[in-house]
Amino acid sequence: MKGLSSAARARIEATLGKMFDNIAYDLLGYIPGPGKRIIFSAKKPSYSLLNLFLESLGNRPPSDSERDYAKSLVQNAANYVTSLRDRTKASVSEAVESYIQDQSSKGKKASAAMINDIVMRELNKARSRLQMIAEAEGTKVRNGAVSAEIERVSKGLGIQDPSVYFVVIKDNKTCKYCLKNHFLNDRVTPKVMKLSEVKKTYLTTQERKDGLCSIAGQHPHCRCSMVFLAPGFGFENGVMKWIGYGHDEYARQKMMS
Amino acid sequence: MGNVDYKKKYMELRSVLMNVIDQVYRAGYQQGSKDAQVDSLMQQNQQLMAQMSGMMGGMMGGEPRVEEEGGPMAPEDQAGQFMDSAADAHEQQGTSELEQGIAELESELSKKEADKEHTANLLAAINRSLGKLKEAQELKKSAAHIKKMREANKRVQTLSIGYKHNLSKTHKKAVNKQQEIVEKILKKWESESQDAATEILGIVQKEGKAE
Repeated sequence: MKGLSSAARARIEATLGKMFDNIAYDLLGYIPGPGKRIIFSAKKPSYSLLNLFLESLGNRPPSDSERDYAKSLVQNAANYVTSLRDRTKASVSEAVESYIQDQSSKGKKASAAMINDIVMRELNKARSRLQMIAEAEGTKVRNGAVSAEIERVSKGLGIQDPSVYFVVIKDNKTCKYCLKNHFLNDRVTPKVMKLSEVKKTYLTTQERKDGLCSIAGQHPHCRCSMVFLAPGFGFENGVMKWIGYGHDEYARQKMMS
Repeated sequence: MGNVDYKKKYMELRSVLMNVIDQVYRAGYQQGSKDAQVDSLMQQNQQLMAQMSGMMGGMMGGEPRVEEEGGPMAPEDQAGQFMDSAADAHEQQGTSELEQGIAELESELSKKEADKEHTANLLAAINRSLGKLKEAQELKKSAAHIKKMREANKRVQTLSIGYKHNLSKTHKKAVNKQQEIVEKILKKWESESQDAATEILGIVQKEGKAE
């Protein structure tokens, strides 16, 4: 059973590591690793999660606490990317080595086309996971920035626990949980909740079934956006509008249910 | 029984089939032009909405809803429904007549040996006609599916009102940026993964493990 040498295996892993570093730099704005720091800059790369955070803040300079929050969000995304990188390294080298050993036990040489297929198959699996990470972490960063902005605005208005709701991005694949948990039963009026009720982490299946909401959305590919509902505002046919002084949409919806 | 004019019978059945196909075609054409009218009306409506929201100067809320749900059926929809049911009836009639004709022919075929070849040709022709009629029925089914898709699209538009009116420009820009980030990352992944695969193959070949 002759497989790859340890040096060849290390070179394969280094190749994949380099590839993930390039991807991570574009997505996160830095290359994760020991001693690496997240530098808060609106410059290059211009399409990173850090830039998305600033864009969601309305491109205003973030406060110190907002910077820390953004860094923690990006660090979380970096952990997911690092974990995917290590997993991909293991799965690619294992798949290639197992094929080479299999061919060698039959007294044959491995085919180049087959090795290419094996590598691409493993990389395609990693691609769909990377897409999920980019989409889900993007939603979390975007809504995280919005929640920071809502906290800042509501503090200025003297509101301790502001009301929020989710705007559902519609396409033909909108999930049932987005409809159920972000709308009232009429499926037109957004469901209003307090910011403290919105979770800051991913929802479990049970939490989703229980009707909870999160800044990360309802599911990994969720693109719903959290929005602040100022006092006195409510909804008419799903459109936010001024109702009158003293109107509390959250209380109204609670009374109805 | 011997005096049955199969050719005449075949011609009659064929004319019924032609009528049905004509009806279905016209129904489809009218549905198409009706859709075009509805689309242009919706476009006008959207333009009007955009103008109104511009006049509101970024104020929140207050815009009228684009869609009204559960209202009375529009006259053209009623006409469309009538056309559909008429086409249905004709189709059903055509099918049953054809099937009856085939049954008669089959019984003749078993009795008369002399005209067997002639009758068999007629039978094949009628079978072909029946196939075409069934194709027309399939087309109708497809039209029904399209209708359902349109209804689903209407529902999406109704729910998209929240996105149009409740989301600020900043939010919309952020949503777009998020999508662009994902697209750019995936595009980069495509080129990087190709390079990595080539490099890995090179490493294996250098080891002398692959052809």
